[in-house]
Amino acid sequence: MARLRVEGLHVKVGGREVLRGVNLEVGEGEVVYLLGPNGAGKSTLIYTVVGWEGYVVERGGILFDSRRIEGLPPEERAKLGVAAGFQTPPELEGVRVGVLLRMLVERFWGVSSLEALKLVSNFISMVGLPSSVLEREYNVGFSGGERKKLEMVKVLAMRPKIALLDEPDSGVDVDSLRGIGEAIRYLREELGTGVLVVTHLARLCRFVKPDRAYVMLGGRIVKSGGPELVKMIEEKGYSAVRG
Amino acid sequence: MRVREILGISRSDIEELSRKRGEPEWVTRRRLEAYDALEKLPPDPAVDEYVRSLDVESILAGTTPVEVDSELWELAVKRLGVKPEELQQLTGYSVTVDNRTIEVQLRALRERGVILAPMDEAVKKYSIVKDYMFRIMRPDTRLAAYHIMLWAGGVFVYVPEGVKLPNPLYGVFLITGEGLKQTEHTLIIVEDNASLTWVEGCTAPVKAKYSVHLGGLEAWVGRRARLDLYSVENWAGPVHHRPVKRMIVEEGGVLNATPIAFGGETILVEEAARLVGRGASAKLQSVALLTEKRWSESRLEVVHEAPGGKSEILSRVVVKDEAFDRFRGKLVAKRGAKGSVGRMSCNTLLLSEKAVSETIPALEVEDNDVEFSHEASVGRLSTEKLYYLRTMGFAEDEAASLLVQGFFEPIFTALPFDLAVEARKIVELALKGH
Repeated sequence: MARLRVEGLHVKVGGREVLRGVNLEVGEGEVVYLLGPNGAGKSTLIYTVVGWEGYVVERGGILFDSRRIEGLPPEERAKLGVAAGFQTPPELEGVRVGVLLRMLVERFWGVSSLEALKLVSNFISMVGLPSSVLEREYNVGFSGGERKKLEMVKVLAMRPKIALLDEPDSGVDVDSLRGIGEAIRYLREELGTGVLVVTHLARLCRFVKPDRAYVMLGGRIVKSGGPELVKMIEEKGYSAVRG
Repeated sequence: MRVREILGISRSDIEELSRKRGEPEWVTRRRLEAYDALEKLPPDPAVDEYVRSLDVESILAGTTPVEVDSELWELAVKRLGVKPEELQQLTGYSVTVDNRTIEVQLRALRERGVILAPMDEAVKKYSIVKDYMFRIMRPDTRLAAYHIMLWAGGVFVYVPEGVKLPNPLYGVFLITGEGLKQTEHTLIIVEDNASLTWVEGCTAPVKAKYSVHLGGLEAWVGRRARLDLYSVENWAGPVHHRPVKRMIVEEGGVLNATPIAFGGETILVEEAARLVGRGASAKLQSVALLTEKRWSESRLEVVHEAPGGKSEILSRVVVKDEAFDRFRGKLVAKRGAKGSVGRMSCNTLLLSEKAVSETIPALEVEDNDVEFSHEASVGRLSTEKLYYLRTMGFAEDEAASLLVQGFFEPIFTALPFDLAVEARKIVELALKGH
């Protein structure tokens, strides 16, 4: 049974229809790639699933463990087990990385403060961030790569059932990519998280093999398939799936 | 406006007060100077209106014994981040209840010449007090003049030359019961090459129905000396907070003054520092979290009177609900204050549509070779940041609280550790139910 099921989803942003009937599923412990050119609606899908302001569901629904969640506030969706790694997360001035992550781990993992600190430092080293990052203000003065890695740590800290990762591989070097791949593997294998990875570069494949893949164009899923679909897009580009 | 019209007291009432308290003649004279100054100074509604309701009769009657039960005690010291059982281990502290300083403790520092004494005694006992008391603070504003005229209680703190105190000394100020008042005076002298951190907390552990705190502080920072001053105001109930502070910094001396306001009903803080020696520096930093219908005005001023001085006037305020905040900052460079650098910066965060903030900066320059600047920013919590935190499972009020705590964090991290912990707790509690 699918953990996350998106059914005939139509979404407007600023009065403009961006998603035009998206159907998609992610199951427990699955890694699913969502491919597509810029402007296809991939990020819109993520923002809509987490419940961000301004993403208006016109038709269709989002089901989490068979429960409709499109009417819930973002914090309720997070508590159910939906987490997202955003492309350009904001800076939180004065909020220390260590403090915020520890709070998350305490809540989502149900462990003591001390245990939480241990887990946080494990996650930090898993993605290849130095432990000194814990003392810094959240995302303040972080490079693009550092932000991507911190987003991954945040997702791990939330112990999600579904993780939606928006281009975790763009703007990061090969070493960082390895750490991010490691985190995705941990989600899938250790936590049984269903992971939807938005990407338009397939280089992440070297570190995490997808179970399935979707291709999105113009606000619709135009093709779905197995790992071979990723290979095909990599070789032939999106023209291969354009109608 | 005449004192008699406002307070119903005459010059001879003041003389009588001073006589009853057994004060030296110079103290009487300085009280009278203040009385005379009030006859001439222009009215100040933010001061006069509240002073009018001071319980002058009980001030004039002299002192009455006060008792504080242990619960109030514990609450009061906790507000400073001190656990009651740790109180005895502090390097030094004093407790002033209403207008009586009831307890003073100083550990191991007496041998090094440090003095921590009730002000009422100090004016009689230490000759040095005469050279500084109401010489740093002059009756130049109505607030200062009222305070000088009516002061009672408080503490005298003296740190001799070259003595550097690694741990803070504490002053606890309490108002008990209803309708009472506080006009305590603190005099701090930090001699050349000495250093002191003074943490003072004002609190009313039991909600007073109506009280006025007209406390005052004078500080003298000697050559290459350093004074860090933290004043935490967290009155419960309708207390009208009217502290007045005057500081002088000598050559190479460093002053940091941080008034932090959380409670009370109306707040008017008046702090002014004079940099009289070459290369002296002062940082006045006003911090406040104003909720409900609180009204607050901070008047902060630094006057450069010697070359090469450095000053900063900072304000970091969060205004919530229907609260009002006004900031008046003033940087002055007198003739000859060459190479002085001064900066004024205000950061305000508004948490509701009805919250109001006003910023009134002023720069006065009598010397060309001076670099003064000011900047101000008023903002609201960013929707993007709130949503970002909500997608991590934080409810909207928790998310707002985290961001507000973050706004204060640059200040709180610089506080003495225990005080920082307590300040964070106060902010968290105040924001609950946002």
